[in-house]
Amino acid sequence: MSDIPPPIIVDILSRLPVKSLCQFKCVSKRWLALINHPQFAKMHLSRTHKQRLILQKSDLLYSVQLETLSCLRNSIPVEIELPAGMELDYDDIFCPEIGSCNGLLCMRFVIASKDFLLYNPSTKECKKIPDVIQENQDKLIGFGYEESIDDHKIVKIPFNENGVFKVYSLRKDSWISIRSDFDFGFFAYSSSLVSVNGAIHFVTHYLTLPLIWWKTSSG
Amino acid sequence: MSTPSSSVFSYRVLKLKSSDGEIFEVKQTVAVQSGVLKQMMEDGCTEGEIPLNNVDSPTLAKIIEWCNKHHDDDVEGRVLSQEKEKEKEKADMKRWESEFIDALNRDELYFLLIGSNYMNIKELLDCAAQKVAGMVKGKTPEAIREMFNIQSDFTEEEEKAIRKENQWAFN
Repeated sequence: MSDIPPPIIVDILSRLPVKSLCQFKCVSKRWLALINHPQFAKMHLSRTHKQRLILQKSDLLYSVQLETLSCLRNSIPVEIELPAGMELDYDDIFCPEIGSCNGLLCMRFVIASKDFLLYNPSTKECKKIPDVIQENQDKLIGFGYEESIDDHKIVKIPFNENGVFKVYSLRKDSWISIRSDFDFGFFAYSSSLVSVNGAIHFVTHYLTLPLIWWKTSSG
Repeated sequence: MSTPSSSVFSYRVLKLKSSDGEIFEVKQTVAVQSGVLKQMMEDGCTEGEIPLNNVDSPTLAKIIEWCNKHHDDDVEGRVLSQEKEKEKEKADMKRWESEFIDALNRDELYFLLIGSNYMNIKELLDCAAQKVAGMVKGKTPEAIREMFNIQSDFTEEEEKAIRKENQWAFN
């Protein structure tokens, strides 16, 4: 099996489970670079991608395959193992922020840190993102991916109209501030927040708009 | 001399020459599954023998066997009255494909990978790559190096560090 052209090696590896790939990182420098390459991660995701729903029950997280939900008997939620010290800091009145996208979890308020935490449950890789300090408490926090710019972003939507949006770009690994004419006179359910097709959606009550979206590429 | 009509044209054969000089005759309608041959047909350069320098005769025979099977049993292309019948044909084809691939030894599989890649036959390449993926899964890094003839270029410390970083995967 020597001398297999690199594109075929890539094709074969893209069909393997993450566990095998993590082992094969130590085969050679070339294989390590290949497996760690963002393009390979994308290829692997597109081949194995099954939509999953993230569920939270007190301080535990579960994932369940979306396609099994039509038949509840077959849908078994799997507990997501969080890294040591990164367990969710949960009590009855306070709920940690959680978003998910492309197999990545974005969490805030884990026990060991007040920072944001990006976590890939398949590879167990995690990255801490220091929070930016804002005077006012944030109204909403969203996490999403925008294909056109190939970037994951965290969006902090401020509480009042004098507030400033804070947007973190994973690609740039930095926060920026955006002023906006956004209408802040609404209440929003943070638990309703989802990211679909590069836009963050959430349900509001009061005022005119039933559903608000914020495009992750515009920041 | 009149121009051949399309039906006559479709029965024309290509002469494929393997790397060891054997000639195989293949109907154009079958050969079209190869992206490379399809392109040559469209460019009108299939006169005479077509040399396939990367494919030896046992491999080419296997590739043609695959293409003939997939031509004869073009499930999607034919109108089948019964949905059930269609499902059954698909399942039969899947079974035929896995028997075809499973019967190959490691060398044959390797040459089939190279050959189907060279001739750009996507379905066959897919099937062969899936088979190799199944063989590779669950193997240790050492076994992978042996299988693909790879020399590790990590220092002992470097390898140790990568193993430590991915400790969970080795448990």
